[in-house]
Amino acid sequence: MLGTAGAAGALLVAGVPKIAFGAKPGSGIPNPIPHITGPGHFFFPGPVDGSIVPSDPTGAHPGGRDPSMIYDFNGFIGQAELNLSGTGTDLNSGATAPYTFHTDMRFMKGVFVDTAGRNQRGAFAFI
Amino acid sequence: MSAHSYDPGISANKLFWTIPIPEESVDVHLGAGEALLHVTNISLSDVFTVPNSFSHAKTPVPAVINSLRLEWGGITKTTHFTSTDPNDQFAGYFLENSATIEVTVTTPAANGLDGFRFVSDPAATTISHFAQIGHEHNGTFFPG
Repeated sequence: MLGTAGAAGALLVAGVPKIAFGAKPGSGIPNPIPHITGPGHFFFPGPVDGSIVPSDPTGAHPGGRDPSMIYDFNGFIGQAELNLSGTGTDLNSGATAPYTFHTDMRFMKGVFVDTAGRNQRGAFAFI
Repeated sequence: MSAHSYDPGISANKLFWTIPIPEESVDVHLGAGEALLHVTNISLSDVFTVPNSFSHAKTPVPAVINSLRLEWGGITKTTHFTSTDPNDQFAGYFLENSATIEVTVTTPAANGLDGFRFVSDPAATTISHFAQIGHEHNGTFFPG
């Protein structure tokens, strides 16, 4: 998620778009981790030991805080909760203004078992 | 100019804001505590606000991340960890560090809305609240 700063928050799901995954033998689609936070299967950013941190408004997770978005996975992960600044431009008028964004981005790269039960290799980004 | 928020949506199996990317987009040097995520031309949606990502009170419009470069570095803590949560089993080696980002994202004009482009300031201006990289195994691969 890359959103205007201050807009973060977990809310109820109403209608949601679907992702188009490229075709591979088997589904090629990974399973989400079981843990649910609000509308999705994820943990907020924070140490894997589940200790309380400002980046996780849901508090402590004594059993652990999995940074991966996908389950049945063996590989590398990266996670970053960031604030960034820059310039926004209206492409019609050419007007510019300073913008700030907040983001939680992650990657997963390795092997996984897809929804068809087949071992796959791949990389994914949480954006 | 109004608010903008970008995400790729939720899949039919509830995989949250997660999309496949080319394997070569990710480069990890775990021993050095460094990693790079570099992607271009990623299609997603401008949902305008995070709440609107779920309510769709305002119809999301197509958008593109023209370029995203996210770098991790600088080890501050290392951990070998095995979860005790029976419902979400994972284990691995994790390194906390910091990260910087440079991104350009565009919302083309659509549905009567003006187009919008955001170009971030240089990576060094990033405020890193939390960052980590690691190697883990979960689910079927737990305990490994």
